[in-house]
Amino acid sequence: MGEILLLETREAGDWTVVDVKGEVDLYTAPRLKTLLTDITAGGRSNVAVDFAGVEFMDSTGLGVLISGLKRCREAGGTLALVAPTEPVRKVLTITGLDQVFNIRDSLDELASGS
Amino acid sequence: MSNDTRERFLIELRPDPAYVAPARTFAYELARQAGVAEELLDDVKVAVSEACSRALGSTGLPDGLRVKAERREDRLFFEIPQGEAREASSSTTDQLTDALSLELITVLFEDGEATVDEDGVSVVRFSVPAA
Repeated sequence: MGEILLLETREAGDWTVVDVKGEVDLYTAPRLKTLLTDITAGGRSNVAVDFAGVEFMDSTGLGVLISGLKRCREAGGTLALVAPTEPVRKVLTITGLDQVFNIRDSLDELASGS
Repeated sequence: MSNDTRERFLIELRPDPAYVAPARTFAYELARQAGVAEELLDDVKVAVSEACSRALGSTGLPDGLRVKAERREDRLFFEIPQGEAREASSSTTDQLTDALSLELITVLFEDGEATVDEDGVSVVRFSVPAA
């Protein structure tokens, strides 16, 4: 099977940004979980997950984001979602998690706190 | 004489998380070729991915990971056999993910269900209008 998830990390002000590209499912989600765990274990607690390049996510991905949010909050920060695509937004909305996560259209919007 | 026309489709894959993506691609292409409305195609992918993930979380799939579909008249019926139910996870996140998975299937499709057949086989089913 080919690789269908690309992950990159960068710093942007107070935020650690995780750029995600591809599909988040049972096969790929553990890699995202490990990365988010490593980020908080490294002392960074404000994490922005950029979903602009995510074409598909199911409940396995939601579980990873929920546990990531929990760890960030325990460390005094938060986990935000940036630019989720329409299929991802739909999954978040159906499950009510759009009310749980801080969701922004862009990193600039997140950084400005608007 | 009946006008009832049925077409049956089946994909059988290794019971491995790496094969969830091919399973949902199969379902997506099948739905597309059956004339399922464009706005429902992503929903089919989500439901099949959820059903396959649940199947792989069960305690054994002797026939591998299977996605069955049957076209009857103007609907496409999907069926994804599950293994025996695993013991409830002690992880709150796992329990939540399991609940979210079922919620997605039942909210996306009115007839979506996870049920146990008369022969004791657990299965996820849903259907979608086809052209």
